[in-house]
Formats: sequence, C-alpha cells, structure tokens
Amino acid sequence: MNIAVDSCSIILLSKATVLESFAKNYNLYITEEVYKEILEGKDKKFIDALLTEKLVNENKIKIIKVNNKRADKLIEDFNLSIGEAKTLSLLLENKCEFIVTDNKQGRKAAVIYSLNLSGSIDVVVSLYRLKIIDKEKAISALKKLHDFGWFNEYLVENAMEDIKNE
Amino acid sequence: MNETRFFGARMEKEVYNIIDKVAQEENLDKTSAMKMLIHEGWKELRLKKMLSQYEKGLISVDKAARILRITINETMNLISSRGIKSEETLEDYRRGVKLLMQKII
Repeated sequence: MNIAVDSCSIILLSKATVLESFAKNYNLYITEEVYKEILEGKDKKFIDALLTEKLVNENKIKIIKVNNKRADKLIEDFNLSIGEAKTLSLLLENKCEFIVTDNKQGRKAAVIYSLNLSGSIDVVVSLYRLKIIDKEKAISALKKLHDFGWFNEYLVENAMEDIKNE
Repeated sequence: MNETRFFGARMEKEVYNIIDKVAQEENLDKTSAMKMLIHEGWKELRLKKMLSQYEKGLISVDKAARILRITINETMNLISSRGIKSEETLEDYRRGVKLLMQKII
C-alpha cells in the first residue's frame, strides 16, 4: 500500500525520531514540492531536512510527480500550498491509498473527500503495535510530540495509556 | 539605491519616547530606529494575522510559511509556541491507527 506524507507530518515524525522506522516499513511517497519544502530547512541544519534527504537518497521515501489539475482546485477551496494540495492529489489520482497529515487544512480536505487519513500519533502507536519499535521508544516518541505541543494533551495521553496498557 | 519618500508624522510623547529609547539602545539615529520598529511591527502583525487565519482553519501551515517567508518547521514552532493545537480527535486517532495496522508492506 502506498502512503502519501505531507511536510507537516514528516517534520513531526522526525521530531519524534520514528520517521526512519516508518519509512523502512511502509511505502512512503512525497511529492516533489513537499521534498523542496522540507529541504528549505537544510541550510538551517534542521534534522527533518537532513534525515528526509538521506531517506530519499536511500530510496526509503520515494518522490512522485503529480499534475496540477486537481491540486489547483484544492488550493482554491482550502487555501493550501502546492505541496499539501499535490499530496492530497496523490490519493485523488489513485497513486496512493492513504495520507498521513497533521496539517489542519489538509485533514479537513481529506475528510471532505473521504480519504484514508492518519496522523503522526497514530503512526507511533501503529509502529509499536506492529513491534517495529519497542515500548520505551514509543513512549519517548509520544513524549517528544507532547513537548512540542502540536497536539491536544488528552490525545497524546490517551496514546501513551494505550501503549502502557498493552 | 532605494527610493525614499518624506513622511512627517505627529505622535504622542509616549510613542516618541519609544523611538528615542530604541535609538539609544540600538545605537541608531531616530529615523533608523523608527524604520526598524515599523519593519518589526509589520512582521509581528503579519505573523499574528497568519496564525489567526491558521487557527480559524482558513489557511494551511505550508501556505502560512510561504507568506511569512520562513520554513514550515519554523512556522510549526510558532504555531505550537502560541498554544494553537491540532484538531485531531480521539476518534480520528483510533481510526488512523486501525488503518495503519493494515497498510504495512
């Protein structure tokens, strides 16, 4: 199954230090535009930029081209940038079956178009349940997401409880 | 060379004192201090506007980053530092995990 990931989730998964495990165990795709957006952080030595570049070079994350036709409508309707719009287009064009995004507008569009949707917290818990990462690593990843403050606390706490109780 | 325009302005003593204080602190003349304050104020104003639009669901993170001319990573840091949270719910999370469990290579 091919999974499309946007810049926002690449950054969060990188902060949680599970991007590499995710990329090694799933078929991850990013658009050329998302790759460009992420690499803008390379000059500032952001870990997400350096790690994504490495994973792309190792072919663990694949770059895919999308045409503008559907993306233009998404940009207009949801005020997205080209990167997010093209990531969603990957599903609308049946090039991917699933999207991982933590971008508020991206998630809104995914719900409206009834796309298979997931987020970074979901990725951490799934990696744990599939025994790709151990309990210690999963809790540490969730703590990093908690400390970054992107998600509501109750959501991270519920995910931590799920892991601790398994 | 940048083209310049003359602009005379009457201001409250309090505002004048801010310009004077910044000029002293930054070792600038008053005109340069005022320009600096306008630039910084403009940047903050734009940032507040973008974050407010993001919070209301009117703009995406990457679009905000593009307008602010900063990276997505930096925009996400700003959003988090201002306490703006994702809208993902417990139900979304449970559904997301269920889907991901089926999508392994």
